[in-house]
Amino acid sequence: MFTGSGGEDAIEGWSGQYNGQGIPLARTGGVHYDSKFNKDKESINANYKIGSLEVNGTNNTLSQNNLPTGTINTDADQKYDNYIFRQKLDATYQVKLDTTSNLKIMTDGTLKNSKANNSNVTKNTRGDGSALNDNTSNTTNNSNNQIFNASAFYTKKFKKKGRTISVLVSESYNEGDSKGFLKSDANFYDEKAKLDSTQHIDQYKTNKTKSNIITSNITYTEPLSKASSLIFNYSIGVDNGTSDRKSFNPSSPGNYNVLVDSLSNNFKLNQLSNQVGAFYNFKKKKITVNFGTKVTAVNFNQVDEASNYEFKRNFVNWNPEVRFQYRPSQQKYFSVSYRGSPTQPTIDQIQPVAVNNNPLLIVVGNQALKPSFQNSFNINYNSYKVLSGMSFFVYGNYSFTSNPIVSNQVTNSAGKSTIQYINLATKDPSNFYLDANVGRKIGNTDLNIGLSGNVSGNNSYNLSNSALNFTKSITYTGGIQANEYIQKKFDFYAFFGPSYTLSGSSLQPNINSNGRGFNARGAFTVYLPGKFQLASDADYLYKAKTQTFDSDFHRTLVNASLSKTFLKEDNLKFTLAANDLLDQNKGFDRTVNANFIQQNTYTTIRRYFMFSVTWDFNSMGGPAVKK
Amino acid sequence: MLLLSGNMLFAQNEHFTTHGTIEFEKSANMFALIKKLINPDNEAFFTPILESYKNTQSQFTKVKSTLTFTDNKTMYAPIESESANTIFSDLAMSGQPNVIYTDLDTKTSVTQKKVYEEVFMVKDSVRKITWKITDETREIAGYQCRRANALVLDSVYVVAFYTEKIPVSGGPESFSGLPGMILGLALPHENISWFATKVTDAPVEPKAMVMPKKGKVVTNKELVATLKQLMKNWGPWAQTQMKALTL
Repeated sequence: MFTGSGGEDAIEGWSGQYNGQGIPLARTGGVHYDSKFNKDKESINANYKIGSLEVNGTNNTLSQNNLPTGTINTDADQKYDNYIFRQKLDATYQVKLDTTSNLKIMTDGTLKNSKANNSNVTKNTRGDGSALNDNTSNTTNNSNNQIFNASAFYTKKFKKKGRTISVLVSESYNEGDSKGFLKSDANFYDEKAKLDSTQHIDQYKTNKTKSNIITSNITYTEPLSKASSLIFNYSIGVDNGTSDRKSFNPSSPGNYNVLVDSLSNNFKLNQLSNQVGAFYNFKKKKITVNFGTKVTAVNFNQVDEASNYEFKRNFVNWNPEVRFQYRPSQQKYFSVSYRGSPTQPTIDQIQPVAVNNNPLLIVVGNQALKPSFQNSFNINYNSYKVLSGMSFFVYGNYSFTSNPIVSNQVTNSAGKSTIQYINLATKDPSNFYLDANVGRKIGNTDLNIGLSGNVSGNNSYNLSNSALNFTKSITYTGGIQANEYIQKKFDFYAFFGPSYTLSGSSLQPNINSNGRGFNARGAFTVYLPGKFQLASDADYLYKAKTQTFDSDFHRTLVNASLSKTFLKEDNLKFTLAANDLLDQNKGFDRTVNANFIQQNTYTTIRRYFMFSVTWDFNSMGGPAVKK
Repeated sequence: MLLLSGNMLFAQNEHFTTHGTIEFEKSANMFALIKKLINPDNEAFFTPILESYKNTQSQFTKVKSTLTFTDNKTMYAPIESESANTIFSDLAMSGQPNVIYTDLDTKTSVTQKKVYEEVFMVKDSVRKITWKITDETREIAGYQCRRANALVLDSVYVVAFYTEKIPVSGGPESFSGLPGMILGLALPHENISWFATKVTDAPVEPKAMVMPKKGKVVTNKELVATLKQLMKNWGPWAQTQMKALTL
């Protein structure tokens, strides 16, 4: 089964991002310097940042895997403790070479060290409740990274108005070295729930990666008339990298020196891409039109250093774009656009390196994969009447993908799965989004009220034990909102509205995830005498039980703060704030994707109180602005 | 004998222009106007916008208008600008929202004023300006002009250059009341100015003096009250916008 949401492959090392799950402890500091000299012709901007972030917490995922042969229910518990320490130094230098040309040089260097520790207990049961398999594992990882980037950007304006050229050259170097351990114990049961077999893994894993990317881009703009111009660009990119991954079994306890060939590999990657692009721009009075395309030819070569086997792939990617906008005034416009974008299959989908962190799930490569192509349409109408306070906007988006890359997951009776990606030439997954909002000011007051409605839908396909599964979901939301803003007196905002979701998959037509929901949120700020300010916001979320998840979910989050400002410019502020007064922020998430329906509960920041002092002593440095 | 003296009489009289068309060019110092929008609350966000504007746009935005005059009446109208909408096109101080017909005999005016999505037709008496005439002179569009200073809307300092060779007490926008046509006008603290680029002495056809019809009829007092109500929560920059829309 897939690891929980937000998790990365623990062996790769933690990326160092806090994503709203777990309790974070962050310490950061930095220094910034910037200055202009030589009559403002030259400027320099430099930063040094140092920081550490530790995130730990627990996570539980309940999911249902819909197979043609039946259902597999999973209960997965995860405990994690991740730490990262980073230092980054960057500098930007800009110089006006003369009245028509400019040069900007940027460089930065980063040193990172991260440590991750993950424990997992996963239990899989069949639709009738009998045990299928279970797995207890622990992975640890310690990795170091060095990153260096440098770029130079030159722009020049020619004598003819609108004729410009710009050149960008950039280099990016990234080196990583990670080491870690994987220990896991898995038990497999037969249909009578008797223990059938076990699998024990105790391995030491190392991964060394190096990557060097050089890109160069030239863009030339030629004015055709006062209202139109053509933009041409050519860019070339060279990407060289190596990846040396090893797994060792122990010959004796603590002595990991037996190389496991099937889980080790040493690759060299070279990728050359050439891109040409042409765009036409027209802008006159109220109409703007742009269209054009970029074409990229990619030559990809992967060499297996152990066997000298070379794997070559070539792709041609097209990125066409068309946009039309009609803008009769600053507050009123209408636009329509189309964009086509290809998605190349990833290295892991074509020829994955063997990864066994989850013995219940193995990814198999497919060398025949071709890129998929996504067509995306957008429509947008926006109108705001300043005097009457009437506003109306509509936004819509529809996209479909042809020749999509979808997963085919084959699960055997013991609950072990293999996943392979294939191109599905016969179906086009699609999604759409439509949002409309109308509002107006009430008479001569400062109260605004509005009405909004939203529909979004998703059709996706995948294969489950080689049978085609069609998953469809549509969500409808509507709402009423009100707001008022009176300078230095008070302001408030309130929204409430219902939602209804329909979702299900074709392989399990009797099970769906249809459900009602309701959301209300609001906030207010009151300016009290004595330079006091009282503010509060609340968010209420309700999700009714569904066929798949049999309990209702309610959550009310309330935050509040009381602050007082001092000094003539109000730039010293004392604040007493409370977060989640009702202590209801239990992390919770329900999603449907492919043939999984999943509910996730996780550790997150709960109720706390905080007293803070903010002093804004000189906003941007330099002499004060006289009014 | 009679013919000769008749000729000499003509030579003594100077020529006065009482009908014709004047082309004005309004210049707005955008760098200064945008800088005035920046305050401690928005400077982190606004300062890079001003920097980028300074790098890509010229400091002064120039727009043209015409003033047609005959029979002691003036008709002032902007010439539509070709330039595209930039993000500061809503700044009333740099724009030309007015078409004004002034009757200098009855001292009344009709102004068609564009305010956001609305068009107003302001019918009121001409603004009474207390001008202080000075000794300073300069030449504008081939005419010798004399300087006069005044204060309008309680706080807006105005410098005008008028010429007695055009004995019509009119001028661009809503400014009038000097003993001659105003050919140069500057509001130095508001960073805008108008200067005549061409004066054409020619008879004027009646259709050139016709006001457009569209607009909601209001008096100046009613317009000011509507704008005050609209802008009361807009913050410090509303003051400048108010001034520009009521000039």
